[in-house]
Amino acid sequence: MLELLVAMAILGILGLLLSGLIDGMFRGAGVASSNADRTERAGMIASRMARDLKSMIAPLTGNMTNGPQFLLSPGGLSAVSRPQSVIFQAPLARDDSVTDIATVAYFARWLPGVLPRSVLCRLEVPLVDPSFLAGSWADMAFVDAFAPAVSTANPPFLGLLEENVLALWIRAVAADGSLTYSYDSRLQGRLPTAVDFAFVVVDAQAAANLSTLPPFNAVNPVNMEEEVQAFVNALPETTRRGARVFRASVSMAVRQP
Amino acid sequence: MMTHLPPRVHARGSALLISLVLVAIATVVLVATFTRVRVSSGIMRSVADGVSAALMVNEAENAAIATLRAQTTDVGGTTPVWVSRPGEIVILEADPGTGVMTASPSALHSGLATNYDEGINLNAARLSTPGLSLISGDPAQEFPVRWIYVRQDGSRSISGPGPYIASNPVIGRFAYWTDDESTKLNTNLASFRNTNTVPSDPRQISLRPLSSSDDLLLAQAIEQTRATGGIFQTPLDTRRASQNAQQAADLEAARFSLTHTNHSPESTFFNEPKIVLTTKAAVANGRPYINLDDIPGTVALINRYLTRTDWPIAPGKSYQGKFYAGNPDRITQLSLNIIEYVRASETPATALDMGITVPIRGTMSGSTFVVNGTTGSANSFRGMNRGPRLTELAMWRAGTLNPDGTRTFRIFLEVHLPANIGLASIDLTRLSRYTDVNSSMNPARTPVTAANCFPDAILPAGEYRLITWTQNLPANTWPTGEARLRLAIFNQQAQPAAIDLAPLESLPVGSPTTSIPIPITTGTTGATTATAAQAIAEITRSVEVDDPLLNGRSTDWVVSASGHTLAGANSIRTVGQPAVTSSPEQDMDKQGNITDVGMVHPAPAGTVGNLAGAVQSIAELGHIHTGIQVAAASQPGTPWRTLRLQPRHPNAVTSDTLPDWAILDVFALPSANLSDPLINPFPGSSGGKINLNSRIQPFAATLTRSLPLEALLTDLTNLPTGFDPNLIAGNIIDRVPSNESIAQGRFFDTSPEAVFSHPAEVIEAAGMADRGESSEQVLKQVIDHLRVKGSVFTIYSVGQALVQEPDGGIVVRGEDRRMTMLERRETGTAPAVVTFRTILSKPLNR
Repeated sequence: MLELLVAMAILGILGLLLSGLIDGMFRGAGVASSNADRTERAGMIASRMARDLKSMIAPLTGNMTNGPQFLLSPGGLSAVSRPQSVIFQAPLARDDSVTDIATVAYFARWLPGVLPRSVLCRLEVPLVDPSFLAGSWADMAFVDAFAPAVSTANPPFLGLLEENVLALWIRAVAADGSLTYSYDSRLQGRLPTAVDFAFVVVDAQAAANLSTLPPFNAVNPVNMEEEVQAFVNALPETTRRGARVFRASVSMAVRQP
Repeated sequence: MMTHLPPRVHARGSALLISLVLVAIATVVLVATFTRVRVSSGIMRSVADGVSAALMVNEAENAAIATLRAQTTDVGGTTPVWVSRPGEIVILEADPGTGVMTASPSALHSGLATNYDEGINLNAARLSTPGLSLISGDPAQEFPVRWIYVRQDGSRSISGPGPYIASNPVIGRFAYWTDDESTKLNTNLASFRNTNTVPSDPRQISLRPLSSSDDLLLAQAIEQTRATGGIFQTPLDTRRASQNAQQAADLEAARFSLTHTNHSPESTFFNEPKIVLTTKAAVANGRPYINLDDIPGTVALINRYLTRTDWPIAPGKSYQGKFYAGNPDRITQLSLNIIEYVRASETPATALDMGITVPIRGTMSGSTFVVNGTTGSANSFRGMNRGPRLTELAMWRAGTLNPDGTRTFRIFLEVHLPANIGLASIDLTRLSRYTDVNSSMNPARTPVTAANCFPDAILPAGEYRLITWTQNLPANTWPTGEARLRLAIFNQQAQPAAIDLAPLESLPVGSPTTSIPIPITTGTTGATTATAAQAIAEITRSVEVDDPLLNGRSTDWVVSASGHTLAGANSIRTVGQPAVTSSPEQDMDKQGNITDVGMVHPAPAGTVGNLAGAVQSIAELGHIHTGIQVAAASQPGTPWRTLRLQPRHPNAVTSDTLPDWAILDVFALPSANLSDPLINPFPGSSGGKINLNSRIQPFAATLTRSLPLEALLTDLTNLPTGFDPNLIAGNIIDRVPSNESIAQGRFFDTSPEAVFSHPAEVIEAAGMADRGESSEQVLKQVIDHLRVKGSVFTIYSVGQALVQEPDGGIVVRGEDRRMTMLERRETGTAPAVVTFRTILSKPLNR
């Protein structure tokens, strides 16, 4: 009898251990699946961003001060340059009934509130009036109008592309091969030949524990990879474990003579 | 009594339990691991499939570019003669043996699919708006192209995926089709016919046919939009111009015929830079031109084309052989006439010259033209200038001797100002005369006075006046019958410059064939009583010419059988009589009678008829006389014959296979606006031209593109009765040749899917220029906007990532579609360096 009790106790303990193990395994699988979904989404976002950038257009006549342009971290968007932002024109308008050219922008945005968080935004506005592009048109009023990324927007969360993207680095490759964090095609007289970008994304649980971000380190575009990693390393341990970095490099399809 | 289980049984149970537990743990671990691996590999595979599909699109684009590069760039020092059209590059080659041109197409697509097992419809409906399609906008228009399968080792197959090979499976496939943007209307340039720009300006192409209500409102909206809102940056960007739903619908309906950019190479059949019809280097923009500082060089340049025999459309034939058979040196006359025409178009009138231009004169020294005033050889030349012509000569002598024993002679020179020579009138007293009669009369150049003019000194265009004077000669030096005439502008230079002289040859005494035979009428009265009018009344014979522009050979002058036509149209003038219809044909009207409407010279620069002071159309070369001094001194020229920019006459000999219009290929106009990058994207290329080769390959059975040609032919002026733009556009597209009594059209590529070899081949189409010389007016408004090849191409491609199953079946794992617009650029010459660059890249899979 005693033996039976001992055996049952052992079996019970083993059963508990086994169920715990199985539960842990399924929890792990769930987390893995969640991470995988996030990774897959981030990968798709990187692909889309790369495709959008690749489609950017230059003014047909080569007069870069009159027509489509490429602005990397323009002054008017400093509030959403975390640490960089990009805005340009490309034939990507979802609704092409008036034109297929859209002004497209990518930037990371910090949304304060009860649950502060950082999101990646994609702005897309049909370019129905190119004269709009004169002067310092790329400003926060424009961004807030078309990509506020908040629930009160119409439609809600307009411009919100992905939650929990903490930062977006972008650097341009100029015609002479130099790398830069700031580029204005109107001043440079041409589009960049290539663009590299990297963004940091964390899982929802890690993001929930985050109320502030470490300072962005964006000083030397030659060391962009190191600067991105330094940012990740500066995150709290619980956040850092859920952080992933996605990078891509895009050669411009449009070649200027 | 209790019974204990045997200890052996206890051990077995524990082992079983432990084994079960271990198996369970192992299973869980394996399942979890498998799940993680599966998820990770799924992510990786998804990303890889996307990349693979994009790479397939790259393969498609590279295939199209490779064909473009191979067929349109220098190969072994020779660039093939190529033309382009939607879906194809076509190489034209001449077979000197057969005298036939062959056309070899190279596909700019992956092949026509006959069913969707072997291909895909590139013009698929859009998912977001199923009523519209990706390329043409109309989902009913299918673009079925074949798949090209790609295996792991990079090898390709167009005949299906083939069997599964474990070590080298199929990994993807792609399909593509390439459009030629030069066959479309350029909405950044086309506008509507107006008088604000030169006729060759692409803004003259009318956008009226875009409007379903046949008005110019949409055209005006487009012009206004690009002026105030900026030029269009993509083909669909033109939609910014629409101001209402109807205009938006009209633009959507025309979507497949509109582009925002196109340009075409400005090179000849032989891939050489065209000669710009200007005398101004700055306007020529680096290209060859009519360089008046180097007339011998310019003559040599033009002669090179006129004498070459490797025209793709007529191997073995040349213009030298056509117009100057047996007299190869005389081809220089044609070159000089072209030079003179261009020079006259850019030369204004001055107070001294009344707009008359002094002809270039010279001789050939070997194969080199030497500019000089020498007229002493059979190979002397005088360009066809803007000015009056000597057309009739007569001499009267008094019936009695003067008291001093001399006899008075009165000479009559008839001066004619051809109706279309470019001058409204001239004052004869601003000229000087020179007449050398057997060296026995004073050959000095003498100013013409009012007293010398009969009936008056003002000579309006289309009319005749006489210059007459008397001279007393000793009885023993009476002229016996040969004269040499010269008309000069008085006081222009220290030595008045000759503006007409006949014949060109000097007067070799004793060689009467090189001077004009002069019939002398002996009057009935003495010199003191015979006025000019009385002398005219007594003259019984004269010597005259038929074509006023044809008076340079003594043999062009014909002694009348009786009577004269002094101060009136000459009796031997053949205008209105049946034309010579064997080639080279004389200028004829639609009844086949000789006409003078082609004998046109430009008015002085800046005056009515030539306000721009420039050649307005290469078709103006249709005014170039081809019958002047065609042969040696003893042979007359051919009157009333200019370059024929019409289909040949049915009576034309079949061996005459080199049409006059082919020479237009050699020349180009100065750019309408050098500073406009849309019109002049770079040297050697012109924007806004329309490619005649608009047949859409390989979908021609179901797709046509006629709107651009209709636009070009819309709102023209000076049209023949019944001119229908849409009908003629259809004739051009369907290659319907002219079939008129005086014009038998023929196209040089006779293959089933033929191409136009040259813009001027449009002449052969029914209704285009087949109603006589006057129908060349239509051509002047059209030809400069036409080309047969383009430099901007759009590749529509689709790529799919595949997995091939062991049973050979395939599974599609990813797809990408893209539209990529390419620009072909030529830099430098002989041979030009050709580069391709992307000017627009647009994802289509949305």
